[in-house]
Amino acid sequence: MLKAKKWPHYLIGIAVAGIAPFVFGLAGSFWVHILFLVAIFGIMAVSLNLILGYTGQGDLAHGVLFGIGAYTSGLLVMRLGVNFWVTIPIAGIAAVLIGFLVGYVTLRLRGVYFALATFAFTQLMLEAYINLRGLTDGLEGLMPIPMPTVAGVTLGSQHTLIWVYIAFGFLLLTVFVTERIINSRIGRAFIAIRDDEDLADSTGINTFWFKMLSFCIATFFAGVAGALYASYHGMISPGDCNMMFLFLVIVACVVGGLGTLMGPIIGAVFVVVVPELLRFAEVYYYLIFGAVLIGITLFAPKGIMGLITLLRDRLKEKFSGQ
Amino acid sequence: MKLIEVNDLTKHFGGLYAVNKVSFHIDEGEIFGLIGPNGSGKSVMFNTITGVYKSDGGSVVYNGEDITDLPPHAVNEKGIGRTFQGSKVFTGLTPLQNVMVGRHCRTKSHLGSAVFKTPFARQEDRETEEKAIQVIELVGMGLVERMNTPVKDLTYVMRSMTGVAIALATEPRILFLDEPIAGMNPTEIVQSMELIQRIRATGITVFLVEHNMQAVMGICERIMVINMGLKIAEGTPQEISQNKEVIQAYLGRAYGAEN
Repeated sequence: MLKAKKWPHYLIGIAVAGIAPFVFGLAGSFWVHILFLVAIFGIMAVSLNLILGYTGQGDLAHGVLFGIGAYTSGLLVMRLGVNFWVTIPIAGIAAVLIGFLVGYVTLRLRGVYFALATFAFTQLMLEAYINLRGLTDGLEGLMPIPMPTVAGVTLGSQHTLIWVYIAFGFLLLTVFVTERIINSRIGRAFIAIRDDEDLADSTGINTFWFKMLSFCIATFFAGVAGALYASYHGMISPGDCNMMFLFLVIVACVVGGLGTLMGPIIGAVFVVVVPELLRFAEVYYYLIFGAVLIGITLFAPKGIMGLITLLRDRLKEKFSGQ
Repeated sequence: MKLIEVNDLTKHFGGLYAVNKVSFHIDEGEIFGLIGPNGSGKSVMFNTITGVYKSDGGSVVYNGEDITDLPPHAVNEKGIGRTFQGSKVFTGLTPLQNVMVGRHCRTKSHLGSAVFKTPFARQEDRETEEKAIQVIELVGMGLVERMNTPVKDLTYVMRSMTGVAIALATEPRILFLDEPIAGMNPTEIVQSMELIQRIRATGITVFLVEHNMQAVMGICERIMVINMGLKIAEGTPQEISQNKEVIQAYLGRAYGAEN
């Protein structure tokens, strides 16, 4: 958790982020689109992991807070002509403002009760998205959201590659901020709350406000992801941020490896790519996907990252034993 | 100087009075013991004083300040450190990292300095680690050799000692120890008695709850005895061991006869 030299990892990460889109681009624009989704799920999973994996709180509101960011950015661009880039931080802040209110009320609860309370909020928000037609255009979704421009170039559907680089840039930012937090006094407090909230309380940590901090930081990135998604897609509807979406983000965290930095990104790849690979199965897709999830829960509870760590440790043992 | 003054402290769960109008004080620099049969209300007392439970009456005055019903983290910040029965530790971390968590309320780095990795944050993190190591060295008991082993691989006693180290890292003025000797062999018991003396020698007052009679009688200057939520005696080990009510309720005639 602490003390590893980080910059080689960052170099590799940036190299992969720089080359992968290009390589995938050669395979076709469909795969570039896949990469964009991986980046979005990556931002969502890495940020959710901060609350879920590192602070131990079962937050179920992450999806609709993504929605807040998406609708905020979409509305600002569409109805008020605000520059897309400006709406990104605004979307993040809007999500945090709502998130702050939600957290203030729900974080006084623990465990399952907290999860249920955030679930209730999610249902509330989805109803709001559907019924505040004047604002959100309801179920059909908010559209069309105009395409943003970069250096005079309007980012249309033929510019998916640039979108991917933009999304990867924000993913890198999310990972960077998360890594800095985890390896700091703040991160230690989060982990303490996760491992034993009562002990953390008695050890001078104001657990309520630290849970709020974790919640708000994560929510900011959910809002940013929402803004990116809305303008890329050209539209945003309640269906884009419902429970299924949240479920996939949680799966990404758990399958990738809760409480690890890179786990959620591996999980994001899993959650986006596996359904595509399973398209051939048609009706049986859910069956197979479900079986894979059960398998991972039973045999790799620490996720794919857990397996990688296990493998690495075994290899270390083998080579140091000789 | 009276460091802690508890007046008519009461805590009930429904109709069950776990702590019933208990009053006592602890002088700075002493090792004060609390004994009583199982279920007499010792841990509830700890929890009510440190804010884990809300009191149902009475008050707690610490260093002249009313701290009744303050939340646990505030109580800790004021200078009351505590351990928990049953070796509570942060399971995902090593003992060293656990103790570093203990430095939390004495350090200041916030979100900004974390994200930007300011020189202040780096310096503070270095100091946190150094101070944590110092605390572990003070505790001893084999923890130094094991400070980088994940706590889930440690014995109950080692986890217990980690808990003591975490509490010490918060720079308390008084340390509440909840049955620290549970699970120890005779050698470890002797070592932990020496540890408590070492802790007191650094200027920390000690409030000890224990079942082990030899330990309590051997190390505490004053002892309070409670039974079924009520205080039944307070005094020196000598006085306590000769108190008829205490003997009847708890110590047994054999021990009383020895003295």
